[in-house]
Amino acid sequence: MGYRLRELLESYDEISSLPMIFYRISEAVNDPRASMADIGKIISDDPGLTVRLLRVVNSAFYGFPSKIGTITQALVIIGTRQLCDLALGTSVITLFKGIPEDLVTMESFWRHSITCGIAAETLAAYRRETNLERFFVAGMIHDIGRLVIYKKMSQEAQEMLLRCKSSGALLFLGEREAIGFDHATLGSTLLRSWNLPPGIVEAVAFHHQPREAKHYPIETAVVHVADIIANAIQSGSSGECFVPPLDEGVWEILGLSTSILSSTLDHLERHVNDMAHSILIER
Amino acid sequence: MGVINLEDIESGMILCRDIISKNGLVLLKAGQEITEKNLGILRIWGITEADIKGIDKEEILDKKTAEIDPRILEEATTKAREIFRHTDLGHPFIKELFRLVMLRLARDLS
Repeated sequence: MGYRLRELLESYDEISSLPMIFYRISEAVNDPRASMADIGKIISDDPGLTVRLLRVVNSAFYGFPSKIGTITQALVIIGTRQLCDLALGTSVITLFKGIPEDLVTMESFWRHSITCGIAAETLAAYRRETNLERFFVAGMIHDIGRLVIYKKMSQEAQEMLLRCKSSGALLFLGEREAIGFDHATLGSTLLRSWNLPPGIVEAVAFHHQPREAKHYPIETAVVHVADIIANAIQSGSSGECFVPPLDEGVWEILGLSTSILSSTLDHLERHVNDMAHSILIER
Repeated sequence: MGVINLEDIESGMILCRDIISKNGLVLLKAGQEITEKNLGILRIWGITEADIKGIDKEEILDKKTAEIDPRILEEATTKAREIFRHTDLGHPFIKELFRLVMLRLARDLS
């Protein structure tokens, strides 16, 4: 199993390494001598990324009263770390091209991802967490392992999807049965090789078994519950037809009242379209 | 008394318990009659529920579903049950999520 997983990732040239720009951004963020203008310059060098980021920060989701026109402005208003997280989350989309759309359309896949990201950020906000963007990003890329499966094993993936749909089984369990591991393990292995923050990696790795998360139980529980919400309202789909089961005790870890659900669903209804439009343009 | 969602609270209802924001500020006192203006303030403060005098949560929820055309309600329930087939509907979080999804499906069907 270990061999196959590594083989899958290594044979996938386009995604085995993150675009250079992210290394340049994270280097600058961690360099105390780098100024905000330096970081702004690095991001602005990539016109696609710049357009996407400005669309996101100007969306109704952020609701700033006036238009944010430049990356430097965005850095000041949103924060360096947060904008870099957003840059990462929104640009992963560009890495996956040429995936057969007869399995799952990319529109539907990213819609599910964005819904999960916004749901995760909303739950974290109710918990008064800081740095909400990392929750958005973790939710946004939680199912990324599925894209590798769809691209590299489209034949097997198609059989798996059809089998689960007709027998009413859960897809992540179908994956474990058919290939020995699931998309969460695969995705987190990929993200770890990209040196993403450990909190995001762990949340992705254990979003179907959150009690296994030893270092970042809250991040993982938030993504687990956000994924359940996104599947329940069927806002896009990453291939799964059913609501994944809630792991025992995980809702309780979050310490939230069920009365937040109604407004969370309203919030999703208002913002998912807008955010999808901002992020998916020119992918 | 009963703890109900903010969306089900109407002006004129009486509070059973103080409403306290996450940072410990008392927004409204027990015994107070809720006004339309109060509801707006609670929404801004991110309050999602309140304990109301003489209210039964189940009763309010039943009233809401009773307003739906029974044929649409049945179709929405069947569909929601299918999507939720792997979950434990007895868990309070799943129960509330199921109810909201079912109401949304019914709304989209009618």
